[in-house]
Amino acid sequence: MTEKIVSKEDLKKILEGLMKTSELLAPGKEGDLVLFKPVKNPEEVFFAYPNSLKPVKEFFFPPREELFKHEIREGKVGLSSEHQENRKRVIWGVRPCDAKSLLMFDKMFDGEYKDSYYLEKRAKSVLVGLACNEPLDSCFCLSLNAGPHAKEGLDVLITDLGDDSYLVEGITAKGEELFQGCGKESGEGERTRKKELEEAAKKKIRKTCQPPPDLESFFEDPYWEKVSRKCISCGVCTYLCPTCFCFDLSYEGRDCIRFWDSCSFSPFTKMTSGENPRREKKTRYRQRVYHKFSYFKKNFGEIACVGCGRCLRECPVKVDIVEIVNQCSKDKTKD
Amino acid sequence: MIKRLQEKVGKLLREKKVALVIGYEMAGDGISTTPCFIEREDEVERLVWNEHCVYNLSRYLIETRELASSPSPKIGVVAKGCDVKSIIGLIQENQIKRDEVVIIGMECEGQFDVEGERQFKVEGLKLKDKDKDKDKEGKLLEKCKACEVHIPKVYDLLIKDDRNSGAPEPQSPEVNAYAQVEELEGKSQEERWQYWKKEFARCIKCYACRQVCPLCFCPQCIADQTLPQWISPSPSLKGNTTWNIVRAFHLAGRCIDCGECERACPMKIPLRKINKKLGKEIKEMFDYEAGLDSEAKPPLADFKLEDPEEFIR
Amino acid sequence: MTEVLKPGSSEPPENIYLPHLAAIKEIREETQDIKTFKLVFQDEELRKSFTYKPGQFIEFSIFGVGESPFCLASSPTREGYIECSIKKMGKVTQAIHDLEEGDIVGIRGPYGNGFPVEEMKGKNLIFVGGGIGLAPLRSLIWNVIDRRDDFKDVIIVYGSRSIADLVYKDELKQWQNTPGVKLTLTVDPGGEAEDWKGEIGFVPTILEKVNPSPGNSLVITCGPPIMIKFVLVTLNKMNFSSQQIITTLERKMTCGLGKCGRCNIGSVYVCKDGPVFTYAQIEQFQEEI
Repeated sequence: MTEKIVSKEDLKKILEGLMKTSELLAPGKEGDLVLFKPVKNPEEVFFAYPNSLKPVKEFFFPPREELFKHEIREGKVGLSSEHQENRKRVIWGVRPCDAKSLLMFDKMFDGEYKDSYYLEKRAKSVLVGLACNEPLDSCFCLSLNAGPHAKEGLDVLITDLGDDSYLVEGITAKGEELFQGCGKESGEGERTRKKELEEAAKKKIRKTCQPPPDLESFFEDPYWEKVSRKCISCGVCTYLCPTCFCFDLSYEGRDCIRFWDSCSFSPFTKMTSGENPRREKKTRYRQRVYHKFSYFKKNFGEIACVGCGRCLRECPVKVDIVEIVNQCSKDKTKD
Repeated sequence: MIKRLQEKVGKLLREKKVALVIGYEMAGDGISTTPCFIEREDEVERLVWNEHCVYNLSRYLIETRELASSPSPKIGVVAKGCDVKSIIGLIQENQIKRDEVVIIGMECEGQFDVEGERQFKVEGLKLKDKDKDKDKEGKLLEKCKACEVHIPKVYDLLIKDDRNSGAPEPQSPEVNAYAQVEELEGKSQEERWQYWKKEFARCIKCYACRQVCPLCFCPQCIADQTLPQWISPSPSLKGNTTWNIVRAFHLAGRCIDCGECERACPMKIPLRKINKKLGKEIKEMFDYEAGLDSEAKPPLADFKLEDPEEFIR
Repeated sequence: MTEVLKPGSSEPPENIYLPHLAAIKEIREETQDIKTFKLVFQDEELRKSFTYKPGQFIEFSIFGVGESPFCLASSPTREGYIECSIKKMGKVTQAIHDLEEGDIVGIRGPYGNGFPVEEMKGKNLIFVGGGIGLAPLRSLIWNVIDRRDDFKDVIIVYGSRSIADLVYKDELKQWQNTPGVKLTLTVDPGGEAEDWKGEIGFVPTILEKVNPSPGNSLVITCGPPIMIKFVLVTLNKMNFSSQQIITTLERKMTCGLGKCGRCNIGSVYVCKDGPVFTYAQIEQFQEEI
C-alpha cells in the first residue's frame, strides 16, 4: 500500500484527467441535495459533505434498469440484451460506509446466481473513498465493524488533512493507478495528523447499534406492533439504504426492467390470489429489522447495515431503527 | 402549554374518554419531535409541544379508527389549526366520525422544520449548532407564513399558548399564499414543463408523499393497481409524472395544504406547488376551500343541476 | 468478486434474467378457468438439455405484459416438452389464457429445490391434492408411474369444489387403471352431479376415510391453505409425523433467484430453498405460514 500527499491543485488535475479518460461521478449540490452525478467541472466536486442523500448503490443497482428488449416480428420473438459499454467508471468521494455496503451487495449479486448487470458495473468501477472527518449525530458505523476512515471495499482513500493537503492511501492496484505520478511522499507528521483526525472522527460517533444476540427470541413480541406504529410504510428508509437490494421485475413496452422495490409496501408480498403474508405493518417493519440484523447475518455472516444513518435522517416521522434494535432486549426484560 | 397538554390528556385517559391519544414526543436527536401513541396515564409525560411539531397526526386516525367505536372510548389527537382541516376532510369523506375523535387543538404560531433545514446535512453542521443561531423568519415553514388558523376552527379541547394569554389572537401576516403558484403561472407552458420535468425526474417512487398524506387513504391506490396498470411502477420520467399529477388531481378540492407530502419527500420535489395550484383553481371555479366545513360536499364529489357544464347533466 | 467480466472481455456472463423462448404446442382446457399449456423450447439443444425435478417451478414471461412463477406440471420422465397448468387470476395469467397455439413465450428456470424423489424410493406415497394444487403433484405422480418399480403403493386423494373444477380428468382415469395406484376423487358437498361416482366431502374428511397407514409412507400434499391446514390435523390424528409430510409453499416469487427479497420466511427463501418443505421444516419457521 502506498501513501502520498497531494495538494488540492493535484486533485483538480487528477479529476480533469479522469473526466477525459473515464466516466467520472462525484458528489455535487443539486438545490439543497447532495447527490452523486457526472462531473462536468472539477470545481463543482463537493468535498465537505457528510454524505450523499442517495447511496452509491444506485450506480450498481440503478433505481430502474433495462435488462433486455423483446421484439415481435412476423410472429417471432427476438430478445436482445445490450450490455453497457465497459468504459472505466470512477466514483469519487465515496464514504467508507457506502463502500462497505457494496461488499454486501457482492454477497447477494455475486452469489449462487451471478447477476451480470451488477457485476459488469462492479468490474468497471473504481471507488475513490473520502474519509469522514465530520460524522453526523446520526452516524453509527463504528458499532458495525466499519469506521469513518475504514478502507474496506475502497480502491483508494483520501483524507483531507486541512491546509489544502490530502493524504492518499492506495488500497488496490486500480486505485493506486489513478494517483500515479503525482504528489509527494507522506511524512511522519502527516501520518500523525491523519491518525489524529481519525481518532477525533471516531470520538464524534456516539450512536451505537447493539442488536441483542438473541434477536430471534423477540420475533413474536408485541414490541414490534408498538415500535412500528408510527411508521408510515413509505419506501424512504429502504430506498436510501445502502444495503437494501429488493427489486421488482416488469415489462414496460419492449423493455424488461428491474426497479427498486421495498418491503415497507404492502403489495410487495401480496400474491395474485389476494393472500399476503406481510399484510400488517408490524410484520413489514419486523421484516426490515430482521432481514438486516438476523436473516442476512444467518445467510452471509454479517449484519446488513453499515451505520450510514440515512434512514434516521430521512424518515418522514423519525423512526429510529437503532433505538428500536437496541431497546428490544431491554423492553423484554422489563416485562 | 406542555404541562396543560399533559394534564388534559391524562384526564382524558383517566376518565376513559379516550382509548389512545396521538401526540408528539421528543425524538432521539433531542431537537425534533416524533409522533407518539399514549395509551396509559403514566405515559403522558412523554407528550411535548414545541415549534418542531411538524407532523400532521390526523394521518394516523385512519389506522386507529377500528379502536374507536362510539360511545365507547374515542381516539384523541393533538392537532394544529392546519391539521384540524384534514380531520374535517376525513369526516367529510366518511373516514372517521366526529364523535369518535377528541380533537386536542393547539394554538400554534408556526412550525420550524428541523428536518427541512437541509443545510446541516449538506454542510455537515450539527443540529445543535444550527439551533443556537435560530433565524426564525428563515426557517418558518412556508405554509405557516400565510397561516390563518393559529387557533383551530374545530376542537374539543383547546390548549392556548401561555405567551398569548389575554393578548389578542395572533394575526395572520399579509402574505400571498399563492405567491409561488403565481410565479409559476407567469411562465410559459414550455418553461413550466421544463421545470416540472426536472423536479419529477428526481422522484424515486418511495411514495412517502402518499403514505404521509392524511387524505391518501384509498385501500388500493391507483399506483398499485395491475389490472389495468395505469401508472408504470418504475421510477422513470413518464411514470413519475403520471404518478405525481394523478395524485395532485385526486387531491384537488381535498388537499388542505398541510404540506406533509413536500416535507416527507426525500428528493424535495415541491409538491405543495402542484397541490396549491389545483386548490387555487378549485377556489376560483367553485369558491370552495377544503377543510373548513365538515358538512360541505367537496366540489369534485358533488354535482348541481344548475352546473354549466354539459357533461355532468 | 472472483469471476467478473474483465473490461474488454468479449464473453458476457450468462444473463440470469433473460428467458428462453418457447412455443405453445398445445392448450388444453382443464376447467372454466384453468388451462394446461404444453411448451416446447425454440432451441433444439435446450429441448434435450432442460432437465428438472418434480416440484420445481419456472418463471413464465408474456413479453410486454409480465412474468409469473408456475410449477412444472409435467414429469421430467416425458422429455422434449414442459407443461404448466395455469388458473386465470390476474394480469399475467389473463394474458396467458389469451394465448393461442404457436405463440411464443419466455421461460426462465427451473428454480427451487423440487420434491426429494430419491428419498421417496421404496416408500408408499400418499398424494393429497385440492383444486389446481394437483399440478405439482401431477409432475411427481407421472414420474412415479413411469418409474413404477422404484416406489411402493401410491394412494391419491384429490378433490375440488365441483366436478367441473377437477383438473386432468382424462389422466385421472389412467391413474386409476394403473396397478398399485389407488385414486379417490371427491367434490365439496353441493359440487356433485347425479352420476357422480366419487366421494362427496372435503379432502381432509375423505383422507380420513381412506385411512392410509403411516408405516414406510410419505404424504405429499398441495392445495389451498385452508385444505392443507385441515389435512395436517387429519394426518396428525392418523399418527403421521411431521417429517413424513411434504408440501409446497406459495409466496410471491418474482425473481426465482433468491434476490428480489419478497418470498422469504425468516432466512429461508421459498424460491431457492423451497418451495418444497417437510412439515417438520415448516414447524421451525417463526412466521406463520
